[in-house]
Amino acid sequence: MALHIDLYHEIRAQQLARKRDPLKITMLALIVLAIGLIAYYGFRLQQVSRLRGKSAQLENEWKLMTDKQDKAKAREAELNAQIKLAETLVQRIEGRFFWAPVLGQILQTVPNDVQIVKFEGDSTGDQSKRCNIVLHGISVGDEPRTVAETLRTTLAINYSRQFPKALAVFKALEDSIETVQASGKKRASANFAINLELPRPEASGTAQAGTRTTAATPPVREKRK
Amino acid sequence: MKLSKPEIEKIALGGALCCGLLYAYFYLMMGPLNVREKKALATIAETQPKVDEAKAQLEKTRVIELKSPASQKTINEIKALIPEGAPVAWFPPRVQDFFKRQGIEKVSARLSNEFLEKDMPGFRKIFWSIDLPKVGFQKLGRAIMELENEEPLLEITNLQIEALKDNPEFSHATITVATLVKQ
Repeated sequence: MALHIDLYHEIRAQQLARKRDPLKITMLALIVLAIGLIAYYGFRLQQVSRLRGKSAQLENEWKLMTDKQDKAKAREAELNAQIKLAETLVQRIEGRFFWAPVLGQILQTVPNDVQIVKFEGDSTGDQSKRCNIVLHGISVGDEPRTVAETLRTTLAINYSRQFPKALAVFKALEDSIETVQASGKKRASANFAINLELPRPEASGTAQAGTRTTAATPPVREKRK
Repeated sequence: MKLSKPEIEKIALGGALCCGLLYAYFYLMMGPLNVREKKALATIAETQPKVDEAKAQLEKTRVIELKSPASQKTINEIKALIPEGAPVAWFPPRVQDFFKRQGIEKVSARLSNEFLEKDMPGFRKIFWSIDLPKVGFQKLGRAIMELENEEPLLEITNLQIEALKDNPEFSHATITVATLVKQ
């Protein structure tokens, strides 16, 4: 058996020691780690740059828009005021209380044995909900109070077609000591005052106003003297 | 495998280097980057709603601008119905002419009150008292109908009709009207 003498074992041991040098291995590991970290940093840097770009763009947009927004707000307020004014004007015109149909209705309703001596009507122009009318008159007949009562109920019924919540009540009804010559006979008379309340209809509009005005033509009728 | 003392020292040195590297990476590089990211996100979160609101405002104004010509036209048409000059100079003759056309003479109109309309900038309301000393009921009814149809800016607020004692066929009428005039 041949005898082998390893004269290089020290050299090989040194080579082996160099190969598994912990510092060298650590440095290699550190380099790999550093490359990974740098790659991640680059990725994050790109993300953040994109965000910062978007943020800067939004800030610029906002700076440009502030002025436009202020102007738009002012313009909107101006236009809204103009639209509101137009609506108010139209509403005022269309929501007027028309008196001609009311007078026409009185002319149709008052019978021959009643004389209206005074008419007082008020529809305060502040768009209040109702119109008040007071009719002062003289009723004539065998039972003048009944004639006045018939007039009151007829008024209430006739006006309720136009004004659904129309209300007619007596303010006064008194027998008169004076007699009236009617149809060749002397007849008893009564003085009355009827209060008519005509609530304005809820719905307003041109159509309705037009209808009321069209219906306003007072009918031709012989009036009792 | 048993590590020699120099090897342990080298491993310790490598560990220290690794810690140093990680510290430098996270503290000096990632730290400021995260701060910048947070700042950018905060700016976006703050600015985005403002920009959206501004865009919505511009759109809203644009929509209202589309509607406005109609209202401007209405206002102009209404203004065109009101004559120029002092109302006290043009209204009474206008009323007298109107009733004359209706066959009613001796009509007088006088100013009774005047208000500024809060909800109608540029306009004011004037109350007039129109006196018709002798008029038949039917003629008055027709005249009122015509007046209400011809004068859309006029509203009768009060009407008093009283039969004349010496001639009950005729009445004395007082009409209170409110008109809109330019301010």
